[in-house]
Amino acid sequence: MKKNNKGFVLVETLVVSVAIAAIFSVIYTNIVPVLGEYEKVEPYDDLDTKYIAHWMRMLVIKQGNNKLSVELGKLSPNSNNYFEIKKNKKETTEEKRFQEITNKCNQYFTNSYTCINFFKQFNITKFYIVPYNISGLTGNAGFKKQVKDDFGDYPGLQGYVDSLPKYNKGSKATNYYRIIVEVERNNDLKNSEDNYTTYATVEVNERVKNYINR
Amino acid sequence: MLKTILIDNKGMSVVEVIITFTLVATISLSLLNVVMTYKDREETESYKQEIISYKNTITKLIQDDATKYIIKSIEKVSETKGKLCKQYEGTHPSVENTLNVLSYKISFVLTDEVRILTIDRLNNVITYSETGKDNTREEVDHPLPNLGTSSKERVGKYECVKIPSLRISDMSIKEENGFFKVDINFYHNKVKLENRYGIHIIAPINFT
Repeated sequence: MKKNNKGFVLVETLVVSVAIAAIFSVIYTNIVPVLGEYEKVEPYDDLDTKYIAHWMRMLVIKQGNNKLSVELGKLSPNSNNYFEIKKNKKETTEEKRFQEITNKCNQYFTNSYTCINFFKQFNITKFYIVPYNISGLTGNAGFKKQVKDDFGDYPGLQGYVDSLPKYNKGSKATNYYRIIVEVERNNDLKNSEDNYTTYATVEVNERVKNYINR
Repeated sequence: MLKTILIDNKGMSVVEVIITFTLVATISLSLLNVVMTYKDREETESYKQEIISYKNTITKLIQDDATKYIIKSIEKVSETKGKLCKQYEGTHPSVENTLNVLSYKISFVLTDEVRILTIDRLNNVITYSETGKDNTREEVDHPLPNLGTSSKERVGKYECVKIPSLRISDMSIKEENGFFKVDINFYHNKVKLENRYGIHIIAPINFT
């Protein structure tokens, strides 16, 4: 009786199955997070929000008063200082939500009405002026800690700040800082509760100031 | 004389072939659903990409002028009302009291420049005057991307025939609290387009 040598033994079959399953699991675990990452970064630096950040930059350069200049002077490279104006979303009335915005516009801008109007019309919920090189602020440094503690809505602004690249150029220059805005947008005109938030950043330096003030 | 019968052990039996084909067919059908889902998603995403590209082009055209110059004033040049589609089918209300706004023509005065913006909903075109060669002003058409045509579709009270799948669903241009605002929302019969895929331009007037 001839011995039949065709086919595979059980061990060979198991080894091949495990190898193929391992390859597929590696492919799957590498592709699925990419989809999630894309959805996370979709609201970052879209064109509309970039222009809003640019308009706020123009407001700071054209209508910022001496007090604001003093605050901006504290934003030395790698410092823990930052300047912020926030809308208090937790308050119930519109007046209280805009309280901080109204106070700081009165304090730091020559035309407070224009400043308040910018925040209202552009729907800006958070506005920050920070040192140019954010990545230079590590650990519990002021701005990053503030963002981390901020309403706990990760990824939110913290996710955006973490995603920003290292801005090394100009990191040691003075009068070189960065504006970050958070804007609340309506996703669907019919359903005003369906909102989404976008973020953008622009830099401020002497070249930009000269162009805006030409 | 003994006949030696060779036993040929090559090949597959019919049963083995049938079982193999059945297994392969089952696996293929189960994967087909996944493949078709991703194919539909790829088509949707490519449509959205084209719409975003168009939106960014128009936004940049207008915002660049608004940031480069100062918007001094806005003036409505004309507003045309009419029916929403060029070709109809069947009966439609004989008395049409409310005609939809089909186009806006706006001029806005910038320092040393005037720009004309026309939004034509019927022809799916946004026209914007740009500085051409020799510094003359020319009106440049920016038609909406062609993302298919619907052979028959109900739009409002009309049964429209051969209507573009991507079209302007609503539009508004206004001056509000010292700001110039343009809002144009798009509609596609197969892809749900949220507000973020529309054109939403906002720029201050007389900001110095």
